[in-house]
Amino acid sequence: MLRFIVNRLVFAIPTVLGVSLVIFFSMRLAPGDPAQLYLGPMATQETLAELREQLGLNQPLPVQYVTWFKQVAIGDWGQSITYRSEVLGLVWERLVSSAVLGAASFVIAVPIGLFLGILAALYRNTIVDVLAMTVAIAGISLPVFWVGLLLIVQFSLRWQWFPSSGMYSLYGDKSFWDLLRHLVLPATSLSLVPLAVIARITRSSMLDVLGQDYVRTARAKGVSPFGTVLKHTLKNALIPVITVIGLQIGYLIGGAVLIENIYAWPGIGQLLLDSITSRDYPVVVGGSLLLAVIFILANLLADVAYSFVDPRVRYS
Amino acid sequence: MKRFFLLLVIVWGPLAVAQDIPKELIVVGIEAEPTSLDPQQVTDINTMRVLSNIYDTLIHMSNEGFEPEPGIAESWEISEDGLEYTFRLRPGLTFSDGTPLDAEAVKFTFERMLDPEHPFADTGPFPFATSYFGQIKEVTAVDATTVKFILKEPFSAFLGNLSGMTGAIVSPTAVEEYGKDFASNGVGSGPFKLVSWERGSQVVLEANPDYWEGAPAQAQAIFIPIVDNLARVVALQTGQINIAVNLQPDTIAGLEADSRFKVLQQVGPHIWWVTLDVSNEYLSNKKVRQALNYAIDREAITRDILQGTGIPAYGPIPPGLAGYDPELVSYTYDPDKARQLLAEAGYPDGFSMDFWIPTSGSGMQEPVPMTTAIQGYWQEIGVTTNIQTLDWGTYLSKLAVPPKDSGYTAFELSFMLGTGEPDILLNTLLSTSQMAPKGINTGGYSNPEIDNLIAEARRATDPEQRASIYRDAAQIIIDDAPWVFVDHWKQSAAITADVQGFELTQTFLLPLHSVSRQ
Repeated sequence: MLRFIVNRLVFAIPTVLGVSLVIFFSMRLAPGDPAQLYLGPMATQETLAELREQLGLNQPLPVQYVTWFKQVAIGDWGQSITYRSEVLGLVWERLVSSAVLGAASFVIAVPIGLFLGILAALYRNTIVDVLAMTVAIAGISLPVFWVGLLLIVQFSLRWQWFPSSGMYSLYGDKSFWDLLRHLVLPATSLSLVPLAVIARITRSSMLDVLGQDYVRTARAKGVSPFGTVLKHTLKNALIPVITVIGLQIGYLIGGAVLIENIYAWPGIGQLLLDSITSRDYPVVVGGSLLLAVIFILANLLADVAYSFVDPRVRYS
Repeated sequence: MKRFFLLLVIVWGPLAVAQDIPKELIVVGIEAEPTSLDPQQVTDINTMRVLSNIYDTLIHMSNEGFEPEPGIAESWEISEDGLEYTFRLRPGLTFSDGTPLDAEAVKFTFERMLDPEHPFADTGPFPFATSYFGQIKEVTAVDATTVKFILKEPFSAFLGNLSGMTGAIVSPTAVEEYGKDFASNGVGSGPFKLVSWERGSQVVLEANPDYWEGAPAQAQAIFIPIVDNLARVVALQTGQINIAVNLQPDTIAGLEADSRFKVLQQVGPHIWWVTLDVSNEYLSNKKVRQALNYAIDREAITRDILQGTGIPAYGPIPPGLAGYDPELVSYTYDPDKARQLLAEAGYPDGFSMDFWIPTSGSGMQEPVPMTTAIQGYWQEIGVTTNIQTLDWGTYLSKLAVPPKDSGYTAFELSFMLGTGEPDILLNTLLSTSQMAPKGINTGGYSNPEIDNLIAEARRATDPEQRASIYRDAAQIIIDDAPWVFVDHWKQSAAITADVQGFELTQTFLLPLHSVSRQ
């Protein structure tokens, strides 16, 4: 197991390097100049030239990359052009906020998604199946910002149950309950797509397994439909589901821009979007790098989870 | 889709009951995260709104008509030749960290941003330093409360520029202590001082009891960035903020109808226009440019597309600034006259041109719908426009290249003149010396009369005289039509009914000193 993990981590390094190269070069090749955006349309050529010099933008691209790489290696991820503060600190704070939101959405999406998928598979072609899959289709089809706004209007404006924006109350004591109150609406909005995907994959995977001979044997032996069939089938059905969950983690953390925007959640999605718009290269590259690392770790966790679920993986 | 929800918000809004924000707090929802707490580094109005509460300037501009008023400086003298400005500071002032606010501090502030040899020049960059204060030759601390500025040439806009955030006085002790981290820890002498800045969430300020104008009415002020316009209004309606800036136009009617809130709107010193490439074969003819100005219905654009969040612009100088005069002879909506002028110019069948526009941008209001309307009006007189849409970043980089190399014939821009000085607009964009590629007069407009008037205005120390010079310049520019003048933005804000003393300002800043909650 340990060797397996170490192996995967070692292979992660070239992946991360590759990500940094692609993002670094594609950002700089895109039209648009951070100095121009920082100074606005009224900037004089002199001021622009000065600023570009200060930001090191006049160097040839490969030189810029190497400089950046050397700094990152010693822990200096550079300084944000827009915010004049250290990239690592800036990105990390936002990442943590996004992770909190992502985790909350995860906690909602996974159990409910699994539950709906299993139910739909066990009661295939009955009303239960239809209802469960309707929820799933709705989750994937409804635009996320639409749902977000709907939830705000109903639960925040009308019923006053939850606040409509931010991560904590301003004058509150940043308690756990305060955070929870602020989390409910955005996490629910964000959980819908993963929930739907998980539900559908679970259902189809369960159906595959339920069709196997050994399941029919178990039923013939007298094992009850719900409880123990679950024990026999679920573990086997979970493999594709775990893959999907692993992929969803990345979306939950890095892809929540719309939700962050509507709910004024101080997350990394919004930061990255703003940084791309203002061509804040250090933040874009730094942020993307961190996200890449997270994706890799999430998928590693998924792989480790396989080995618990499927003994064949463990011993290979 | 969004409109539907806007309607829901407006309908259900009245059912929401405001939550309780403690009375000694005042919470403002702003439109983006502030970029830095170092005033000399800042270029965006949004951040300046926060900073105007932490810092103070030598001069303040009055809210009516941009008259200079005492700020940190209680009086000043200008020498006959317009080269020496001597300011007498209020005695006994301090920064919020206890450092004395004296002539040395003022000298430090200006030298840091202007002198590359200054020990703390590396805490920059200072993007607006040269454009606002490049005329300063020397700053001297004559004694503890007297500062003298010597300029290289007379520059009448100097006083106005001193009132902006780029001229805010910073604590030398704090800069020395924090170095590059000063941008995260602003220390000034304003009505409030910084308590904390949680990036992405809030900037918390508390009252500065030693402020020279008296302690502010509120004990604490908090700024929260809420990017989505609708979410900001909702936050106001659910009682999470007391003041929401820059309202989405659709929400204004609903808020006005709700007695729990008050909506404020005021035309700001802003101008939105279309630059025409005067070297283009068609646009080099003045009659053609005038025709383009006659062809558009500014009233309709501001009323229907901007939903009243702008007023028609008939000249280059926005309301409130020296030289603004609604009586100047300008263009009306007259498509017939436009067609006639085109025919006189030799193009009865019209012509075609390329128009580049951004999808968004600071001060750009609604670029795509506005341009589509303009395209429609021009089509009516036979001018076919090919619109090319670019994102703001790409757009700006393309604009920096003169039209003959880039390929555009027309582009649009806007500008906010928060210091009340027309000079920066006229000189940077319409003077011969600033023609591209040296400067950013990429339209290529060059009129020696205008150049002379700009120089004359710089030398004129009497405000009446300056206004008259700028008025003359404006009339010539209107007639020459290097631009199509479109509108001036009406800034807006909504407050909860218990907020007293809040006003929108001509400077676009958001001072909270006299604002209180009852």
